[in-house]
Amino acid sequence: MTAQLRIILIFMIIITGMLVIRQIKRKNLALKYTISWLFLLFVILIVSIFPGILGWLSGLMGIELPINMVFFLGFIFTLIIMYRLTEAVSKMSSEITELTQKVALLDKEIKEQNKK
Amino acid sequence: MMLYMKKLIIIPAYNESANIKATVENIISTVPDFDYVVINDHSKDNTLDILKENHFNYVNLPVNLGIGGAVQTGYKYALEYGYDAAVQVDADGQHDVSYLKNLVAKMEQEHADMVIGSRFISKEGFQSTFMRRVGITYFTKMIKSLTGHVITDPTSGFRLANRQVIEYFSKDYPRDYPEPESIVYLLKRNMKVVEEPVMMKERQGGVSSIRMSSSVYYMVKVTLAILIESIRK
Repeated sequence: MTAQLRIILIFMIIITGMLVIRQIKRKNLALKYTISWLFLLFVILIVSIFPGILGWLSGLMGIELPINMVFFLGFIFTLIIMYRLTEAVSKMSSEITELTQKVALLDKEIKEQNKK
Repeated sequence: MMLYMKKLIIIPAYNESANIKATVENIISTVPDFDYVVINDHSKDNTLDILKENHFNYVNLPVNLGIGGAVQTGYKYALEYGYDAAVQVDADGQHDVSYLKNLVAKMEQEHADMVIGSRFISKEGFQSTFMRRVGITYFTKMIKSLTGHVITDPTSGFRLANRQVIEYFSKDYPRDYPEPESIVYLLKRNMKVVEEPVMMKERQGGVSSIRMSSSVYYMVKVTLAILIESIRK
């Protein structure tokens, strides 16, 4: 990894990290769903500071260019995050269905009560 | 002997302002021994106003849930108010409620848990389009190979359910395109599902929940859902 790339990466991570933390503080992001993002940032940061790790890992996995290792890891991480989001969305969707039905039936009951 | 004393008609309605009044009035005059409830699935048109003005019995969903979620609300309503049997009747007028007495009779004779009104036994009335019939035949064959039961009209929404099925559907009902999948769900739980010949009309207005653009999604989704349902225990 070249020095320029490392500097750009570290710079980007600091900015992104600050944005994410600010959003968590403002309660715009739930920590529950942001931990994986923070972890990803942390890993990229470590790798940018100590690029030796990357070379060692690439050698271990038979990947020639360490930078490809960055892409590979980024891709895997993104997939994990997306999978977790799909899971969360599915769960929420069935919870919303449940709540909507409950609200509608309660609303009906209240209206019936008021008629009497 | 009357096994099913309290019977409910569930009418899911999404943007049905053109048909809903006629459909409900027809139900009230044709089958007075049934109660009915309209489930307004957060319609964007003035379906809700029509329901209010005419003092129809309705439940109003504050969020659009799609056909499965709307019908399930009806089953939950049936469970809550202690109905012995519930039947789904579409708001667009394609289901002829004069067949309801046949469905009930069939349920009593056969001690069935669910009776499906099938278009394809007597092969009379509106037989759907060619492409849809191809899809329906495919689901019939698929359900037969997975469960051994022949259901000639697995996509029919015109279905009468007894108390046990109402309970099952209240707990678990597919979100979209629910019919074929929920049949497999019931068959896997050893429910007795039988069919009764009915005639259906072409829809009076409104649009089908299955459009051409989504028919590929429909086939894939329902196929997968049936497969997953058949390996669930």
